[in-house]
Amino acid sequence: MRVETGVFGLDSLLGGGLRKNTVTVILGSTGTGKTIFTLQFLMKGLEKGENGVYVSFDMDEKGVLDTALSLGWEEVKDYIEEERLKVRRFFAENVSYLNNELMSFIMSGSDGNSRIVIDSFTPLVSSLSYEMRNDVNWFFYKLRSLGTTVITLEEPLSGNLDEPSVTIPLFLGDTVLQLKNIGYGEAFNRTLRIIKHRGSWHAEGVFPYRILDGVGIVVEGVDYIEVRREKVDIDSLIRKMGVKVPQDLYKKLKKMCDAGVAGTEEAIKTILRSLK
Amino acid sequence: MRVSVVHSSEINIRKCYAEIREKLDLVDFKPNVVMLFLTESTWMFWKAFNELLQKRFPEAQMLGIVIEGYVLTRTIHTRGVCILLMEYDGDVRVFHEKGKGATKTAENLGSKIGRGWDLIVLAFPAIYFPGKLRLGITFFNDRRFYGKFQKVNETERMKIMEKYSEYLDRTNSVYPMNRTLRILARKTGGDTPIVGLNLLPLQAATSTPFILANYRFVSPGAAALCFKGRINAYYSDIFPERGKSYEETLEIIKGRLANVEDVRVTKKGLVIGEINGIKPVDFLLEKVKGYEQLSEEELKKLLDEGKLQTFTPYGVGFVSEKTFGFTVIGLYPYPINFYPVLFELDYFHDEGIFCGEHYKGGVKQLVRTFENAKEDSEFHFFIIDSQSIFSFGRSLFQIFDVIKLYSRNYFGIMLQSPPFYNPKPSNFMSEIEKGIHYFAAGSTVLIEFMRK
Amino acid sequence: MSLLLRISELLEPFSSDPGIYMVVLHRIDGVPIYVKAKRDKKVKLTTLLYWLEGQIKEVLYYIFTRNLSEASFKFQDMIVRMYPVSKTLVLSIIARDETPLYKLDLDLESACREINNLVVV
Repeated sequence: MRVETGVFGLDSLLGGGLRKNTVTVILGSTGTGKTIFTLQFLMKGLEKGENGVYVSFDMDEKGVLDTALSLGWEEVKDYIEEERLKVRRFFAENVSYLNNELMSFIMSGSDGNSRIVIDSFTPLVSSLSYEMRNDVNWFFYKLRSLGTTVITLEEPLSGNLDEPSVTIPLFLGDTVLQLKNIGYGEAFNRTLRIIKHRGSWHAEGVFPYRILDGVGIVVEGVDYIEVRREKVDIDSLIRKMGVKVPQDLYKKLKKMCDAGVAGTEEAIKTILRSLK
Repeated sequence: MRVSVVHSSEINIRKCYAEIREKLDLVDFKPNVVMLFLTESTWMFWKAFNELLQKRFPEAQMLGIVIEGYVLTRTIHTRGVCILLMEYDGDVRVFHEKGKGATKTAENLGSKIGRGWDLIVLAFPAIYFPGKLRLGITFFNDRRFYGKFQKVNETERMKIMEKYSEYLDRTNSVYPMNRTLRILARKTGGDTPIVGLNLLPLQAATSTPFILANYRFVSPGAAALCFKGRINAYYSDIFPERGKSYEETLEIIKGRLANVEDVRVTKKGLVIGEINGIKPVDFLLEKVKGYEQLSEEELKKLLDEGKLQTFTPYGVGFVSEKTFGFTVIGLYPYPINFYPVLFELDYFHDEGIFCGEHYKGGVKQLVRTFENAKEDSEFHFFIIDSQSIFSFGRSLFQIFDVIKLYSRNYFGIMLQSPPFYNPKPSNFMSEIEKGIHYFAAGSTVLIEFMRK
Repeated sequence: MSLLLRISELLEPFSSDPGIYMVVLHRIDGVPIYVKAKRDKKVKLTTLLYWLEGQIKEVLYYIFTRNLSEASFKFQDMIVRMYPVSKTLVLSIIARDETPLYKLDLDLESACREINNLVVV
């Protein structure tokens, strides 16, 4: 069961979308479109009749509304009025850590099937040390039980990702997407990279994206991935290599072939060679 | 008139073929002229492309050759395949001749072509690299003739060189471009410009270069694509105008070439016997430190691999006795005694110059022939010297700065410096006989297709 | 057709060349946008790829400030050539040492120009 991200072109790169009841981390520096990503994610769920929770540390309800309106998404107003989308601004200085107030708000808008956004997670964990890894783990565990979550994480302009406030969420998140904006105004100015996508195939590489009025983020590269897909005939490959393959391994290899990912044939050959 | 250029720069032959086939599907007119240009990555698969084109355009007049590269609207490519398709408004026809001997081939082809054409594009091998057996015989004859040459007096030497030249002609080994163009011009009335595609790959292979004419393999013969209609051809070289005397020309040209040294050349017909009293290759080795003579075995191996180098920055230059024009023949340390050349040497002074790099004056000079382009032209097809690849490298892209000023629709091929016959004499340095132009490097021919 | 697919179509022919081990299009921050390596050379090339990522910024600096038209590095039996494509992209070719590049250079320049045309918006 997949949850559509709402970001055009992305789901195919994620093997169909995000996995349900997981936590996705969007890592990116300022100006990469993290907030737009989260709004698109929420809008997609709301369109489908799901509920949404939006936790912000920068914007209140009006701010979120203005951002959505600037992109032409007027229906957000209705979703907020209908209380299908709950928006709350928290102040980092008041939220000492992953506290009850925050969790209570998220729980109040979630039904186990909701879309949850925390934009951004950085103020919450800025003073994080490695000893507090379990706390984040617990927090993510709770989030998974409430719905499918997207949290944003600010990438330091220095590019240093070694801080625990960055590494811990990246380790514990189920899916990590990195947005980059190098600021030179060319086609590869903004790119998206899927760093991990637990339990699922995902496209490798960097994919250019644009932010367009009305539609938000559009990621390119689906056709590129498609043409790189490989058709591998596992039976003829096994025959050619002359090896005996145990039944359970055969099933796994067959599954690999069905996915048709680039490099499958070479990977299978390596496995079969090891059986010789 | 409609024109389409179909190309693939893919070197994987399956992908290349598939891409070409797909692109041919998109051609929305019926061409009456098909020119197939194969590069070093694809020429060995000529049969597949020839068949493909024959199936698609069986009625078209077809010419196929191997080129070093091609120039598209804003890019230059040296790999893959390129096909020029034209729906030409006037009459067009391909003639070919697979005769015995270069002179005989030119005579017969000229007779077939006849008079009344407005432009002839003539494809012929500058030097033909035969199979191993024929090559062995050529090496043997080179030693045999040269052995005699070393033992006799001056008059006898001339006769031996003449006989060896006849042998090279008879075996289609060398098509001397001035003689070939002279014969063609005479046979076709003398008032039709002739553009020579004298084929000499930068890296030669056994049984190359080859020519396809109307989907038939005609090597080591020659073929001509003849046009009647609104068509022009222009030639240019990169040098200043020639002098009005032997001395004046030498003075002008010496200022444009590197490492210039006066030499005395013993020559006749199509061969150089000696330079400054020694074998041409020995002379070269004496002058250029670092060069080593190839052995026969090495040469055969390189030909087998398609890697025999034919380009060289060193050469001997001659002044024409007829026009005071000047031209150069490249020298490379092949395992030979007599040095065969690409043109008939009889009308040149014996005093020549040994020289280095032929290029000076910049890339843009190379395409100055575009300055002749007329405003009401529809399409320009040009032939540019392939040695410019070495001389200019990536700076070659500067040609687009010039071409764009004069043409909106163009396509070019890179080939051994093209010879040209112009019924109207010129002042070009490279006019070596009345109307006949050739220089080993830096010449360009522009063919202009006018609106009807 | 997406930009990535168009770029891969332009660069794919180079990786078919027997003398070329790897073709990489790097972004200025060292991120490889397109990589194609010969299967049997992948292990050998991985360390070189990391090294290349580290050189991109430096090379681009020289290319833009000193008008370098290309940069070349020679290793034991390999040669690395880097060509600027745009303000943000560099095309790197890793080839066998003795591969003649004089003609290939023109094709690479053509590819660089085509890619430049695609990415400069």
